[in-house]
Amino acid sequence: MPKHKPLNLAIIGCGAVVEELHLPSLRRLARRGVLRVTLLVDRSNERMARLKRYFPDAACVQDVAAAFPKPGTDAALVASPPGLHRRHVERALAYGCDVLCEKPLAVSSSDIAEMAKVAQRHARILMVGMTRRYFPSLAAAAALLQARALGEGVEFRCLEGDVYQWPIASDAPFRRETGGGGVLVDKGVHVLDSLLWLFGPMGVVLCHDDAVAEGVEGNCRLELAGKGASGTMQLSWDQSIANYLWAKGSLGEMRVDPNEFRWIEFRQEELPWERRPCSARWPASLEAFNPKKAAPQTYADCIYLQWVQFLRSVAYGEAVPVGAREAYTVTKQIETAFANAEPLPQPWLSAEEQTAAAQLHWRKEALK
Amino acid sequence: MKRIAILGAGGFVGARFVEFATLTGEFDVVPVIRSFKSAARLARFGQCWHRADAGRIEELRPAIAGCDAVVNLTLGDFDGLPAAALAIWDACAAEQVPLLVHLSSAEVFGRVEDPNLHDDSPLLARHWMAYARGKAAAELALRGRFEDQRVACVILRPGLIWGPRSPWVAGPASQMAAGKAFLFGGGRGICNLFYLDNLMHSIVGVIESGTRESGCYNVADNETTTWFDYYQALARELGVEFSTIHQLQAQQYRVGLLDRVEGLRQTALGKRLKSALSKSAKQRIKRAVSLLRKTPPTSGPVPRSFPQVTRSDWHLQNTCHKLPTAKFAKAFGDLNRYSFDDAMVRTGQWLNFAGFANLRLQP
Repeated sequence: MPKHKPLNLAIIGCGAVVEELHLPSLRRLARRGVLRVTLLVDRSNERMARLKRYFPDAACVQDVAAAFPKPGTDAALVASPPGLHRRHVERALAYGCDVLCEKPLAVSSSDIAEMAKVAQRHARILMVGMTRRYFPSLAAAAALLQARALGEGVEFRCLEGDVYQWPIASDAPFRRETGGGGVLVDKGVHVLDSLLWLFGPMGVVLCHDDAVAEGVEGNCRLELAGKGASGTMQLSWDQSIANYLWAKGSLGEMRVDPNEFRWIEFRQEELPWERRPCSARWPASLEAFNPKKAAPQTYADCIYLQWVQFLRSVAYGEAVPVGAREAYTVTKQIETAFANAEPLPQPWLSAEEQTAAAQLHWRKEALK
Repeated sequence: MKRIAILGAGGFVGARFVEFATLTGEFDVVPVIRSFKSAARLARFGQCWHRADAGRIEELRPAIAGCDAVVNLTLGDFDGLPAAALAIWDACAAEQVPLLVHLSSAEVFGRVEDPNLHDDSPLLARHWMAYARGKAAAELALRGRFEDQRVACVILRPGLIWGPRSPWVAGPASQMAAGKAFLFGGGRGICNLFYLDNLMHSIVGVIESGTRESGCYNVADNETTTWFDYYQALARELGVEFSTIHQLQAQQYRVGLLDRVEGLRQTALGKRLKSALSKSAKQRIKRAVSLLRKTPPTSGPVPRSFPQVTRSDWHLQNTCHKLPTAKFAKAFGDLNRYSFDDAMVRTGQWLNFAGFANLRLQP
């Protein structure tokens, strides 16, 4: 790493996402003298104490209002619950901090629009933590699509689902008033961002989900359509479903396991499938020119590279991979999906249960 | 309307109970979970859930107060199962809940090798599987309370619980799609299946019967199904050529890396390490373990897949006999609403929904 003045970082929200995902990268960057964690903000003293073990010089405050102004803070990681992101991001930006905010940037597109204005007004970086932009598999798929290897009229199918395993400290993600929705907000932000990145602008044509009464969706299926591609996106956080991205066009077909970082599979028309190595690399150091580049091998590596990109954006004004504009587009699509949500067909249930699931669907309940 | 507390409501069986109760209104359900993350499976119902550790009576009591029955579906640390089972029984007694239905496992006998096995046969105390040892120990602990009339305890022992969302469906389906599925000895071993909804209706039937008798009962689907039958039906629903399923000799098994890792995970040291390691540390260990294996080619033709056999697969697929269930039928009647064929149609519909059907990942 080059000789820069260490960036003083505030961490707003000290929950599982920081401890489980960001901590190794932050410690690594701190060891290299690139950044210093100087401020921890969380309502829970216990959570702050756990992080303070790694950043003993950091001050701890329980309320973000007391956190700013705090002299000498250059940047902030906002990892509080999504419903608080707007307040926390805007406060940090207004104080003059560059901000890396965990996804989703906010729970409504109008909030994101306001946040973007604040970032612009204060000429600060606002980057969204969208780690999948560093997945070598998705980068390889993007390269194939960019090279038009699949040809025209691309159809895709993307499924992603497993049983939720995050060690969360509250049930906020499972309530509409605090989480903004269910799996579509949680995983959907990631997957929609990836699909829009890969296949270009698309809109939600149809949304089916399984929430009833005051529940939030545990499963959803969206149909998306755009100029160059159309397909379905299906998500679950309560069961193991097949996990893959498949796409086919007039010239070829690809199948991608997003979590397989070494290869994707491709075939031209009806020829046999072949593996294509993932070769994308991202800057892994802070030199302004010809930085060292690296290919991530684990999810933790992706987070590290995301931090390096954030630091490079702060230092050199490089464009952020996902900012307010991309987050706005994704959130707008989620809002469209929710506004038009219909009951998810579940033919394996008894006829009585299927009828009840349709009658109790949350949209119908909400419109009552 | 009966009020039933479901302990372990965040599991796939528990969530099915909550789904059924929410959609049919046949009974009033009280979902009880230990950690917030378990609420993910319940979030879509908009139900209120209670948080309680099954091993802590003082946490359980407010959750089960006023219930007609408690169904114990919890599965935490295997070594802690007996203590948790007793704590649940004590909480029922303290809150005057008259019936506890405890879900055990047919694996408490080991695989069914004795044709004369019956519901009250001795349990296999030294099973190689930590899960089965824990289940057997929990049963023995609860049997010590059978004479106490305050709470009737009905212990049910299903084999493999299958159907929509079941790991016993999603697992083979993924393997078949990837060309990694396998059968030992032509699949002639008995697959002791119990369809999820048959299990649910059996539990509801026990509760509806108003029994005040404690007892242990084996439970299973009515049909005798071999692994061949099961895999053939799954393959049909998935649109997979049955001939792509690898055929292995019945004795063709040796302890592999996965078994060694699983064995280490179940030791006291392994458990302590697992809870102490961060997510990224676990990722790095997984990565290091994967590097020990032969590096697969990253370019060129997609190579042929091979099965990854575990001791558990080998053990289960070599089962000799069907689990006898006459005692349950005599006490409560035949509560199995779904035949194997009906259940497989519904499972096929779920496989299609879950993206497994017509997904051929092999070259």
